[in-house]
Amino acid sequence: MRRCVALLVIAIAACSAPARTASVPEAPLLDDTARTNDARALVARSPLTVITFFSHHCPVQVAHDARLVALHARYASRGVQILAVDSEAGATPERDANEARNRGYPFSIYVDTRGVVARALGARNATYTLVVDAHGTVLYAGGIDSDRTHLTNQATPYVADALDDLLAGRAPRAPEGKVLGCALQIP
Amino acid sequence: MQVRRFRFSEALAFALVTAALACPTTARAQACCAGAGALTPGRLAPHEDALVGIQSRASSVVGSFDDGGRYAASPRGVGELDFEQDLFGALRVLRHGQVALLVPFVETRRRTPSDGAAFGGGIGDVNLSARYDFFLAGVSRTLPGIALLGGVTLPTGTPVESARRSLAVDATGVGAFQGNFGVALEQSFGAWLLNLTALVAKRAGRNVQGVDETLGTQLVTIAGVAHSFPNDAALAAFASYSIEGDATINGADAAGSARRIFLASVSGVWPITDHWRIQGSIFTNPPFSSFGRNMPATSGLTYTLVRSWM
Repeated sequence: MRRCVALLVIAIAACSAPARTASVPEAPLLDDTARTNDARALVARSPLTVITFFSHHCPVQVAHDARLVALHARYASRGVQILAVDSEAGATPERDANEARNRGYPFSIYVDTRGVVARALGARNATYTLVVDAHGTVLYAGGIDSDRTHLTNQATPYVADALDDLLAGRAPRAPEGKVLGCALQIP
Repeated sequence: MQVRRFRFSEALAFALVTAALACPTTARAQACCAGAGALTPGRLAPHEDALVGIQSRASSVVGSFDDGGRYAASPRGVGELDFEQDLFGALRVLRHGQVALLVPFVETRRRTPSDGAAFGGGIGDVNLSARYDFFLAGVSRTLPGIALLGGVTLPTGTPVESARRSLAVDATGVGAFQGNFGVALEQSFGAWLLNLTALVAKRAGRNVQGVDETLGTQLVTIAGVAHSFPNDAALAAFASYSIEGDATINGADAAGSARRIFLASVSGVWPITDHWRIQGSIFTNPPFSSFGRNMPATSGLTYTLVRSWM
């Protein structure tokens, strides 16, 4: 199943990747034990990866904690992993391990100590989220959904729509979405 | 009577400048997002494309400062209440630019022992403004947000010499074009936002019953701090100090007409939804000597409702 999804994703990637974003770079990301991981190697673990840029103080981030958890619950069994990346100045593995625990994240927050991943992927705001394939090619880039801090049932679920389309073998109906989170302070 | 009219026109001029400060003319940069909104109600947050709003203001004149800066409370039987409703809108242009329009409606109730009470008002001086953020606050640890501000105020209101009602309560404008230019610096530290803004305003001359008069150049400095909460609400406090040079009359310096005023304010913003927010503030010119010169001292409050589009 995963292999099929991976092949489909590779085929779709060729024609649906947003033009303004590059692919996931080979760059260090620190996990919650301060161990260094390569960003490209991390995304290679799954046919589809959701990368979301995290900010511990942003109200938009707080509002979307539950939706990120719901995304994980809905798509993890379908071969989708979520990587939260904290590229802000002052981020530490210890602090983000606590943040992940306190927010009930079933996934890790990786620290992008020099902001290399953020710069490569064009991240400027918290909750900026990308869907990438196992090769790191960007298939969707933008907000998690169209809500900001007051969540509604009428929101357009950009990431969920993109994942549904990709898992169904289609190009994302919207390869980009507006980001509503706070400005990231990237070192 | 003549003295009172002069004071009223001065108060109105400063009220309009204050209104401009509270609206997009002097909007300031930000990281995100409620903190700056608490400081400047009519400003577009980085994620917003447009907004419209209404701000209601009510204030009371509690006294005045003479040209030596000495404060005196209003005499018994003399009172003034000022009201204003500002309709404003802002629209994003380019990625980091925004333009705004402010249409004020001004009402005044004044009372003196000799003339009794009178109430009047009308449309005030319309303000057009623009802001461009070269750099957003919070993006860099060392470089603050930097924005250029500019605006023009049109003499669409009724100047005091054209007022017809008793005590000139229907005077709603300065009667001259005004241009302003400013720089705003802003930096965020987590949920805290610090702001420093400087504005220069230059008023065009005008002829009143054969007399050419021009208000002095005005410099306004504003310092503010805001704190955002996890639900995107925010509280802010700011202080401003306005300095204005002597006016000129028929080309000659009108010695002793320079003005100063200090303003302190506390404000808050509460998001109702992602598109609607309410804001409120209380403000005062501290009624103590040396906090002003040739200006009335007022205290009041504002209430603002904003609808935005993202």
